[in-house]
Amino acid sequence: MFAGCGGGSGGSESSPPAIDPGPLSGVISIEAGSRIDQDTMDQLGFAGASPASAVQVLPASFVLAGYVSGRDGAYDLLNGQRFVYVADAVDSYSVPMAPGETVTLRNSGSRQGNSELELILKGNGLTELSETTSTASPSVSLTLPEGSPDAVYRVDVRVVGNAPVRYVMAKTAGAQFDSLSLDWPNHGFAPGEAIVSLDASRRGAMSALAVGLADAERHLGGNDWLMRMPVQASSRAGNASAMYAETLDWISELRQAPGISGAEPNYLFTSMQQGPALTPVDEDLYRLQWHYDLINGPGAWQLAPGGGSGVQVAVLDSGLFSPDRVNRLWHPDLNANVGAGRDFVDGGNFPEDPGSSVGANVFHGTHVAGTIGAEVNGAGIGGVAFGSEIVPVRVLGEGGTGSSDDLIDAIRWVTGQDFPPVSEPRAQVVNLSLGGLPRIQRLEDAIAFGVNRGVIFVGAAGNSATSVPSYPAASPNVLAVSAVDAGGRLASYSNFGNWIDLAAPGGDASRDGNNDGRADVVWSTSAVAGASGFEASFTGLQGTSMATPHVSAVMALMKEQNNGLSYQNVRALLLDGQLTDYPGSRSDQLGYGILDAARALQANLGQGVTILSPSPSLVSLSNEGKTSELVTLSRIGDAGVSGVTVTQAPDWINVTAPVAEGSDYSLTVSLIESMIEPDTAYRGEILVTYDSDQNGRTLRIPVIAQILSDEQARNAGAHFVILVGTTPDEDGFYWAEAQVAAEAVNGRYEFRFESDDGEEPRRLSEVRPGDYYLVAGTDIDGDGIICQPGEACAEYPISGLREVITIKEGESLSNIRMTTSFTRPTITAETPDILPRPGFRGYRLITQEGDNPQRDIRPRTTQ
Amino acid sequence: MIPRFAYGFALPITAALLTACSATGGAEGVEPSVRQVTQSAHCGLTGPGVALASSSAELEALLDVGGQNMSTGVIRQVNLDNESLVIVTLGQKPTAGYGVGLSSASKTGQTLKLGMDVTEPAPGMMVAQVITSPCVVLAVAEQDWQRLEISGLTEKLIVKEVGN
Repeated sequence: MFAGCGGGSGGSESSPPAIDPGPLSGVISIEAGSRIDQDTMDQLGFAGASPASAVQVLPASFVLAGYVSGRDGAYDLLNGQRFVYVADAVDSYSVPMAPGETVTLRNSGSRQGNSELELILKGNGLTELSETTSTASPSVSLTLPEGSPDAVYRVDVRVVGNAPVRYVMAKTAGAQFDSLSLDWPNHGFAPGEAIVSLDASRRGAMSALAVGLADAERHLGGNDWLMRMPVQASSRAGNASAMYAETLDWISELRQAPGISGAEPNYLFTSMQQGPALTPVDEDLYRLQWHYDLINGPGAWQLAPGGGSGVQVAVLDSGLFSPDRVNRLWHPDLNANVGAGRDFVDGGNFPEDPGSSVGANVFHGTHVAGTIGAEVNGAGIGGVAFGSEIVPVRVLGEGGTGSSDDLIDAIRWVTGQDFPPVSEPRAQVVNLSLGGLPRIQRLEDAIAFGVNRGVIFVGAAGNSATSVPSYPAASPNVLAVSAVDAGGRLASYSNFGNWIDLAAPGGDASRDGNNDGRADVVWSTSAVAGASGFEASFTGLQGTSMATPHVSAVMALMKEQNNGLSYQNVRALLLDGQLTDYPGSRSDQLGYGILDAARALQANLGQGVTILSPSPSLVSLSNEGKTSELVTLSRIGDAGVSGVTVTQAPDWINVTAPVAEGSDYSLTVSLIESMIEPDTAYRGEILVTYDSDQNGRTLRIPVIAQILSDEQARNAGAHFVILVGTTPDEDGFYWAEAQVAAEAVNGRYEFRFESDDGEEPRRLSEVRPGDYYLVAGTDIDGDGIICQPGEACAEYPISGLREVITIKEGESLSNIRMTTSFTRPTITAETPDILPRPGFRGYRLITQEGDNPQRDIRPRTTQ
Repeated sequence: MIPRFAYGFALPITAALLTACSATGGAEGVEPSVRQVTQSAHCGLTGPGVALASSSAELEALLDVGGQNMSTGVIRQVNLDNESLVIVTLGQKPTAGYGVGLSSASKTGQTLKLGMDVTEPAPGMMVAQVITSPCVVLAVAEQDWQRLEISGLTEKLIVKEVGN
């Protein structure tokens, strides 16, 4: 029986620090929400244990791993060893559920085969709901119907078949993804907003705000304010046209209010002339665009208020969506910024993306173009270079594929390599969100011609999760862009390698790196099939294609400042770490780091403008991380800054008044824990206004916060902590060289290995000097292997990116920290350069002395 | 919506056909009435497989998947009293250029056999570097099939027992 394994560690009680910490010790924390089935096989393996009859109580939000089996039996022999399993036909849970909430179950099977699982939801008068997994659909889910009481329900997981099965069941708190009403009719004014002129005393503002008539959004200068309709008023509006009507009613009301001398709708375009230029921050969908914060977009737009005006960016792609080809109109959020283009697929000068007759549309070029140059007009989003001109060049046909010949022709056209050559290139920046080509000399020549004329090329590294160079990005004359998620971590699909220049946000739909409750996808312009053909829309996509236009757009902002900027200049800035959040060294995953638009523009500007730039640019507060954060507002530029004031902040944070520190300012943001609901993601922003260069400027600092309430209760099941050799055996298993067991105490595991004392028998907990991987995990199906699908797993230092740990004679590694999870954890640490691993099958536990054929012949000393 | 914790899951391809199958008895060897409603490059379903929907609740669950941009209008026009929907998904693909369509349909006894035609970019072809999740949406008029066999999608035959 397997139960005794790991018990031989002699693991002492919590050792005071004075005692030898051993060669290796540390703590494993547990991913939020983790729970474990009370009768997993490793528990049932203990003598006298039997399947639980009681219902297990779960919280509102959890990720639970469990085990069921139709009958008793034994797994197929593993290296001659026999592991048994015990019948446990059903696991029962009580789960708090609200209507619309969903429980998801995923069947991971076991080494002994794949029984199916039935997920059952019942109780509180509900007609019993059930779903059964299948080979094609190993995941099922049940949603509590609308109209059901918000109560505690019974959820059963029942095995259908004889073989044992591991499973993971999850329920996450909070609402489903917002169903966004994206298509604001393109009326001439911004709904819910007004430009309000106050009586000179400004007491008017106080009185208007005091009675809840309007919320000040931004000071536009003089007595003019941009005001927003209060939420309680605006929430009555059920649809877009009602919203416009209500906005007009509200403006009438404002005109009658004391202290207000005038109120006008926020007419689009007009406000750009009246006040400081609007930026993408003011667009409705900005709140979804985590990717703009990640590249420090708001800081950059202070420095480049023109948004790349006068710069042409060629988008060599699938063309653009046209809602009206007769009048040659483009997507309404792009139209004003699109210049003359060319179609190299079908010929002609109207590079429309026709979509697909059978529905398989991508509208890839439309999405890419939006990230670069969508107009700031209140119609959805703004591009990073919202003032630049898009030159649409179609080189990808239906389905998003194309030929290198068309690409070469297109680059020749864009760079002006006509016969004879035209005097100027047709664009100063070229975006290449395409790839998969080998190195082609003619393509290299076409690009080199452009580079020599001052054109800057930016290319997508590719989505194959490999280091094999993908052209054109891998060309030495093209900036190769890899993709990161919202936590700044390399996206799971992104290519990497020594040819990567920098990284930018490309999204990762499988992650939520910034805890905003949404998958990390990149939002931009698109089109969708409607009742009468395609209609303009917005959508979230992921790929290095989405990362690339962020870089191209910043190149356009830099070109606006300095039209003479060459590719060589850009490379010099890149290698000097001035275009990115340069960590001090280059990596194969992120190149010189993640694009930092504000930094790039500062470097490009040299001097002349003075602004404040926040660091960090996004404040993230949590009871498990920082509950307060010092934000430094660094002065960039030589002129003075005055009147630095916090004018707006969410009510769930305290913000101190900005304090001058030399030429910089600082403020502290603290979470008021009593103001936020546990396990709910909060988002807001701090507005700081100041004056510099005779300009009133506004800085916006996004804040996210979350209180995680379950840390003490987390339990991912009994863990085996093992040191394994760094190469697998011929069956693909990594074998444990030393092993200790740990139970969750107050939501974490503590572990400690011991040095080999040279005495026989060598205990499982004794470790010899050498190179190892340090891993930990559960064996909930009792088959002698940890870290299989459906089992908890932690790897040092980061799950999925393990690194070799070296144990040296007489030295001690303490305070090792890892995180265990049933799924991939959310990580913000810098990602080390580790290659993906093929054919991984799990880590093989030691179940008895002599199990591991390699263990006892390992040399005693290794450097 | 992709739940925060659901990384690594195939998104829930829910909706086993509930007991909507009325016994209207299709004859052996009859060519089944299967039509292609639409295709999409972004179905939001990460694993290859098949999903069925014979009620509007099941359909809405599928249309609610985050990241999909199917032509929901034409899908919702299908009268689920007369036809059921079969969504065959290719799973997540690294670039554009992948697609799946219906190539053949036949029925033997109570088994509906659908052959799929999978397209993918040729090696070395230039492709848009966007993650896609292609699928095809089919409407099946026959009501009395109990078993679905999908060939051509993966190396193995995909079998879905509908059952009662």
